[in-house]
Amino acid sequence: MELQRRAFLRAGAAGLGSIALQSLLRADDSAAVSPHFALRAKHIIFLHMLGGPSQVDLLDPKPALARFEGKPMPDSILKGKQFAFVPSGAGALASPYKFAQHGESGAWFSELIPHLAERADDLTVVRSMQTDEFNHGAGELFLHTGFGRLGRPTFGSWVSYGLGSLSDSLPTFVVMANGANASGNSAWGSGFLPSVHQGVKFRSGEEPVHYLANPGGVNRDRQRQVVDGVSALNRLAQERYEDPEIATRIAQYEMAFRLQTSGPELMQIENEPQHVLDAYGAKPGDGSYASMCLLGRRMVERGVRFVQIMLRGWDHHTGIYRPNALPRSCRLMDRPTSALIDDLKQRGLLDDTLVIWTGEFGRTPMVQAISPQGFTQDPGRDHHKDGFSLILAGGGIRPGLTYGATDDFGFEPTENAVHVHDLHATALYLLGVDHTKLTFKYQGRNFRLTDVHGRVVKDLLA
Amino acid sequence: MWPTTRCSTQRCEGRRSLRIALFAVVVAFLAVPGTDADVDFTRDIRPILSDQCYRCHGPDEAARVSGLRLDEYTTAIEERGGKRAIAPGDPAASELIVRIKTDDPARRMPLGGDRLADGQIKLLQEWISAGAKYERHWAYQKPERPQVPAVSDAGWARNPIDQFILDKLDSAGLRPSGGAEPAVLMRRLYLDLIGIPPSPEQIDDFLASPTDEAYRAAVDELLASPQYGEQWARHWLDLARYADSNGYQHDDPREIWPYRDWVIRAFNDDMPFDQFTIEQLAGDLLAEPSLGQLVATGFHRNTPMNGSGGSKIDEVRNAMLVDRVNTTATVWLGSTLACAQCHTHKYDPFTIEEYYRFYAYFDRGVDETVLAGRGNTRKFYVGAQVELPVSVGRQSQYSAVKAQHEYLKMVIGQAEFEAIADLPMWMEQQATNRDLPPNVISALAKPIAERTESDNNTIRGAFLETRPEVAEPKKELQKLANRMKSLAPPTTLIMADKPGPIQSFLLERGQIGARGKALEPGTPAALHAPGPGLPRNRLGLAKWITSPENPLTARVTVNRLWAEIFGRGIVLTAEDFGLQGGSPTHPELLDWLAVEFFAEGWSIKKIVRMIVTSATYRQSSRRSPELLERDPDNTLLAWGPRFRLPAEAIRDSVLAASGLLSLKMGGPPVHPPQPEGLWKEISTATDPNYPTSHGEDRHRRGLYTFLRRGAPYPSFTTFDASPRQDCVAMRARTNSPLQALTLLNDPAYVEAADALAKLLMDMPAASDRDRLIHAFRRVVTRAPSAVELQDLTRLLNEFREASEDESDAWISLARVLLNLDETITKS
Repeated sequence: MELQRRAFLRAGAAGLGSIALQSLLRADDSAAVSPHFALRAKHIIFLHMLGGPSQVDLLDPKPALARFEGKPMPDSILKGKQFAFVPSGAGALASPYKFAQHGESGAWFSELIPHLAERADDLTVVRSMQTDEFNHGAGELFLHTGFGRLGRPTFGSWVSYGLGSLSDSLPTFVVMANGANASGNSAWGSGFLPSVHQGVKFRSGEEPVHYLANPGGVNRDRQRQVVDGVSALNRLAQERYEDPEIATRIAQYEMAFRLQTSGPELMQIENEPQHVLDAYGAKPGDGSYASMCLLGRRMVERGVRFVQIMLRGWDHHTGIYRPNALPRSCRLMDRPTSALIDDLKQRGLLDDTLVIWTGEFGRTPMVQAISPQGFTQDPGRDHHKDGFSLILAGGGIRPGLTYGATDDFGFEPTENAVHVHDLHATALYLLGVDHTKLTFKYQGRNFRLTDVHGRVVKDLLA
Repeated sequence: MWPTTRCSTQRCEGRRSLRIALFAVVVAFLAVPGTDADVDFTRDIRPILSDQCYRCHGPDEAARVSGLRLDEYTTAIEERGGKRAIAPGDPAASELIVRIKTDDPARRMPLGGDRLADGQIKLLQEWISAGAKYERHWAYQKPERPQVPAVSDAGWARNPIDQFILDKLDSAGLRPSGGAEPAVLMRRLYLDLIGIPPSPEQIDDFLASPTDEAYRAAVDELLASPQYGEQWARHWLDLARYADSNGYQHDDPREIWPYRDWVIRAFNDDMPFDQFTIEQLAGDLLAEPSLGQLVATGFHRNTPMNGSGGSKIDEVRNAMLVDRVNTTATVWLGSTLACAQCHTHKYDPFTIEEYYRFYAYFDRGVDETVLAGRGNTRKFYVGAQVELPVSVGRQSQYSAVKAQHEYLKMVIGQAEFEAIADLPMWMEQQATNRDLPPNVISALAKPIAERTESDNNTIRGAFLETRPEVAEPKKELQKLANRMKSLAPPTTLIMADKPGPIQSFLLERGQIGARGKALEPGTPAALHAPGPGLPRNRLGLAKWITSPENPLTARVTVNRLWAEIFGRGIVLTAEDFGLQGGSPTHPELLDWLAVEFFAEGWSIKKIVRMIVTSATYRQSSRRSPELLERDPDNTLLAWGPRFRLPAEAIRDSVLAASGLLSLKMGGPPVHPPQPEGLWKEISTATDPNYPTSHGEDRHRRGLYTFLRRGAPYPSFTTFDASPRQDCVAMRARTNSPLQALTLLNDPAYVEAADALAKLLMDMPAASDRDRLIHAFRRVVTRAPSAVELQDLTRLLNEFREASEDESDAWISLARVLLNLDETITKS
């Protein structure tokens, strides 16, 4: 085994970024070496509102839109902009919702998200977000990989690659969703990183991870016997070939066997006290966003490093104000997200956990006129990449801050623009990682999550 | 990542990133004592200059600082302000040396970086002292056939490959390993040549008399087997990013499987690689192209296509062209031309202008997307396609059904026309009917003058549904349409160019909105010049690529063949032969093989045969602790290849061992069972329902499994199969708990265990021992050792104790066998 250990350290020194190596050394009880920066967060919970929530209806009030209601947006603003569907000359669309300031910080929230509003002083709102992509597939990829086309590793897989695991029985990067997303598996894929770094999708229901349950008729004792038999024979093969891969495989079978218990145990939210379930609004086995938020907390508690939760229902091209459209999505989202923040805070986990709430983009301040009747009947909003809002909490972020601002119509940042690359750089910084140094060489180039972009937004740090 | 995967993950990651450095260490460490080798530009100096200097003082003019360029001799020695960066013969007068040694951080190079290691500084000084000789990057010089080295043990060497390998082992003071035991060798050979392990019966004769002659006969037999083409196509299809869907949102299915079958046939026919290249890149531009030559051009129609509503046509097109440029460069040139898409390459001699000259070859292609409806809605992937002939019987069935369909349509049209006279009356009667669908109610509620075209259609449709003389034949019409669809001749996507001249442009910073100067198609100047008279189209490009003057294509290709067999290339970075790629571990061998490849008429089978008949290949993969310590990555090949199989081969092997595998070849992709609902996880998918196959299509070889880019067959993904989103030259090989869960619990593997158990229990008049040995041989090919047999017997009895059902015990035993490391490994 000593030889293997040395082979492993050698390969480690050669193969991983230096921080990755350090975290491994720490896990090996060797001298702890400091990462690039002081570490502020250990976990990330990434709440992705699939489709793109409307910032001007939730977080970025724009009274000017009411003055222009129905009138075309000034040319100076629309010039050179790309939209998926909006025709030229589309009129402004005011938000029908009331906004108010909350908490000591005085942050603005609309009446659609009253629970989040109550936590104003725990949250940080960035109103000046920008991305490069304006349709869903590419937008999701950009949000998660920093690149609008297929093939790059996602944020979670970079974190897995760079920082490794905190658990000996659960994956490092877990994904949950209440339905389909546009880019499929690619939104949690590992791109050119080895596939061990891809997100593991946990599903609601009896078998949270594919092939986690024993085959029919096989009980746990029998499964144990099989795994023991496999390992016994693999040990003989190890003697025969002296191949370190075999030792790794033996360990992976043990890990898999543990996961068969820890996975289902993790999913059993029925073991939570009723008041916790009530706070989230979660019902065991319902696969709801509320359950996913509660599971997110349980995962972080058990050492999962990166939890990606995806909630569908924000792509409101028409009928955005129908009760079952934006208001309903906000209702499904508002309380569980707030409960998650409270729960993490009460357990002392919020300091270690960066919570990110965002869409892959925002929505246009003007109406997406589809019918000749225009916005007066059932209006909707198109995708908008140049200015949208997100919420951050915990993990070393300065709470109670409203950062950045957009113009009078909510079109583009007028100050402190924050690009998705900057979000990635800042989140990595909080994990103690220099985004310019977390690299992987592929096809002749050192790739990184932030490509050749990104800057740490120091103003956001506590 | 998973906590206990450390060893494996680090190994994999290391493979791509720093193994070059490792090799340098190995070389230094193995250097023959006493031959204090001269400083070598390619080996010692260029890697330092490339890593540390070229970013700011390299080929990229836009990034160049102070106008200084260190990648060319003439510019590096120029006098600038009374100083010279490099003064040949005089390190002390060389500003480069002064600036890397200074203690002043504001002046020390590389600026902002760490000080160079003393050893590196010393090398640079020695190099300048010796005259600062530059050499062209090895990969851009045409390979010459090197002398085959004389070696210590001529008896060991079976062909020139062995002499090159042994020469390096000799220098390192290492000895090759002994031959692999015959059964292990046969398994290795079968897996490499056809991707399926042998059955015990297939190799019994060989085991009885494992002579060299018998081995060579087995090689020839496998090379001639139809499964050979499937095995090697699988690898090529990763490069070709072949898939059965478009990727991105919707991820619509596409029909292009005839291209996959063309590749299989081409490998089986051992189509010369130059022809193989020309047909795929430009088959459509050949004079009177055959159907096969058209189908072959599917290579570049395999690009993903972003059909999302809202995506811009010109951007979608640009992304596809960029993918074609980058894929071509990776596959045939081993070059990272992609780096020059937005700016001139930082390391390799490719300018942004050359990138877009290469792009211009593809820019002439016809439009390939069409909007699915009005407005900027989703897009369909269309473009040129070709219909495949079908059997006469099927063609006549198709024609008959088509005629019936047309006739019935006419009949229905007539019936509708007659019925429509009753429509006004119906509308009146139904005006207050609340049981109609909501859209019909709301359409009827509007005054006639305000009804839109869509309202009228809604009403008309609802009305006609109430008329049996229309509704009944319509059901029949749908049935005929389905039948027509299943009988229709298959089509496949092919390339086609627009007629007439097309003007292409440089795109500044890679932005389609930023057109720069107008460009004609052309190839990079740093590589060989195009021959006279080559057309400026894809055919000219393909002929340029397959020119004997091309320094890269043969090397890159034989390197990949080598890597498939040995698990790593002679150049580790199979996709990058540029300055930042790995140096070859055996440069002379690589060149020898490349020249041989030309000389042997670009025959892949001949190169593969030479590799698998070498003594190097036939070595045992057992390694001693000493060897593992000295050359842990087996860069010198002192032992035989041993590594985990690719995803498809794992499933194929297990199906073969359990007697389930179907060897049916070709045809539309199949849908073996997978967990429910996976296709529903792609939003707005046209086909959210996975049409699980029946019968033998459940057990076809892995390369026939439908590859949906947004939701590939899950167990393949777990074993590192490419989702085919872009060109992949080398897959990763990871080792994870999800792999364990798949082999333990995936119903496909459970089914295989059941089948294997049944097969064992059905053995007539056999003892436990017979059955166990047979089972072990079916799964891992070799016979179990005495200790292994003891363990198997003990396990069988333990399983029997735990369950009264004999078949349960055998199923458990079969599960153990199908989960062994050796089962999913080529040893």
